[in-house]
Amino acid sequence: MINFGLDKTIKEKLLIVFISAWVIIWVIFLIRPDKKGQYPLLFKLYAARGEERIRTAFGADMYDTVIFCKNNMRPGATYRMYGFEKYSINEVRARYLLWPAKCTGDVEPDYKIVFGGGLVDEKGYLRTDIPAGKGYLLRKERS
Amino acid sequence: MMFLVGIISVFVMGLAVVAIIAAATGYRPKFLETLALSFFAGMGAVSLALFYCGLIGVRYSMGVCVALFIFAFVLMVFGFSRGYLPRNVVGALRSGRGLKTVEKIFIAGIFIQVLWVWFLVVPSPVESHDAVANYALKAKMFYYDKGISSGFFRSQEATVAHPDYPLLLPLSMTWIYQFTGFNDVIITRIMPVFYMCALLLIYSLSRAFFSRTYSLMALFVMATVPQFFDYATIIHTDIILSVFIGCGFMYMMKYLSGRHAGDMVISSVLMALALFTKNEAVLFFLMFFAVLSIVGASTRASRSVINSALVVICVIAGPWFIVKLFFASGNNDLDMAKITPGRFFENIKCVPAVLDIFQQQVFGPKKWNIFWPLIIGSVILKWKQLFSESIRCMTMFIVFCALGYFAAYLFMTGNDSVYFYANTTMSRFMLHFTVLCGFYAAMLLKNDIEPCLEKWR
Repeated sequence: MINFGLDKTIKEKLLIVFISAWVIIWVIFLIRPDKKGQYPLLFKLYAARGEERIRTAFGADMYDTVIFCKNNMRPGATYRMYGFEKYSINEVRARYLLWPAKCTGDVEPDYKIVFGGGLVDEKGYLRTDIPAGKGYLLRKERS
Repeated sequence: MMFLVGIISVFVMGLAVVAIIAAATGYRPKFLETLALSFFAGMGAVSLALFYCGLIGVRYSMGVCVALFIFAFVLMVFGFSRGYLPRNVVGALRSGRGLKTVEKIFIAGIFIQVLWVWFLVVPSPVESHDAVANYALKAKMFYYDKGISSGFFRSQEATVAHPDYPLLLPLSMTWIYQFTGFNDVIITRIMPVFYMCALLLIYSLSRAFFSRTYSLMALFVMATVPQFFDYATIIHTDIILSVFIGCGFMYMMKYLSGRHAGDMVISSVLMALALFTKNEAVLFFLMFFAVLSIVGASTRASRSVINSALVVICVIAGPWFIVKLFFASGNNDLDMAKITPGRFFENIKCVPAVLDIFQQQVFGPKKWNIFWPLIIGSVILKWKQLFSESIRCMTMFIVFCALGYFAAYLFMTGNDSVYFYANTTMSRFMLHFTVLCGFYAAMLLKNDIEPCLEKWR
């Protein structure tokens, strides 16, 4: 039978080695940025206030585009988004910002938001361009 | 300022719950334990209160929260006046001998870590993927709808992610919003508060088993696991589940070693709150129930206390499961019809890929430092103790739960997506075991490390 029993001195040395290794790795990964540009973004967030912090965190382009759409949509309306990868960070952030408008899988929602470009069936919808060529918003015509 | 008022109200709600438990069981929690436990119990109390209000159609408002707060405040004052809650705060903090240098170093390390978490969180709004897709979006919906709208549980996945997910975190956020107004810039600060309370509770529970120096060392290790503190900076439920499961199990161990009914009741409250936090808690609960039944049958543990614990879990978590089973639409990640033995055998060929992702996590220091090598090392070194009387129920619990998670990969995911799911979820799932495994290793290595630490000045 293997016996892993260790004497006291070795245990103490092992403990010192373990704590030293732990502290070194801790400090390295504590300071090292988790993702590229983490600290510049963090300092920008510290400099920003209120809603501007969300704009900074989400990215100004994306934020302004989504808020433009939100301001041009009825609260509580339904919409579909095109141009974002499904469940991507930008898609879920847009959904979050656009509430109380509800994202839906319906074929004919009240609005269609097309980010970037792409072919979307515009029949029965009125088009509003999003500034700076970021895409366009389609509003369902009232029958 | 109003955020602070909201947080204090959560503590007061929790203190009322702790006072009720203390009055009912005769258990007398210590100061730090009361402080930490009251935040967890408070999160449970406010979220369940809002959940019930939502079900019966009471609209969320500051008035409802203030009414509940006043009721809880009266219970809290009653608890303090009757001695159910600790009153001598200064005495509690000053008791015992002075701190040794090594203890001061561990405390300084923990303090730096806590400050670092606050540094990262203070300017950060809600932004991470699961937060905006799920928890924070739900909190926003509940706040603006002034309740849980009638069709919420049947929402399309396109509208809100996983409407069948438990609501502890979104409803706790909704509670805070009643005080602050909708403010998704400061709501993230709820997580560092949770993190600090988690550290306090882990320390308090460790003291029931270990010396002060060893408890502080174990706490330093736990506090500085990168994955653990990273999740204290974002709105996610994984760290909450880890703490509820880990501390819940530690309370059960405390009950088995000391036999105070209050420990078992608190254990069951934390397990029930875990069920209201994340779906994965169901697996932990089933294993908890199995282990409790085995241990209860083989030791002198009181059958009535164990039964009471199970009743507490059913009372707290039962209504949620009724809503979930009968009113919520199914989870798109979990199609019960597709869970077949055929799929299991089809996925077996993916086992090496899953194990490869697992070993990358275990030996990768970026997220875990050397936490998992420590756990594995302690299991190898102390293999003779794994089934000793004091350890075996933990061994069984961890092994069965880990096998359950592993089986879930093979049963619940399609052949082409096992790798994708394992790759994106493994580190989070391992976080669920972190507090539990940390305590497990601390128990295994106690007799080796404690004497060494006691010699250090």
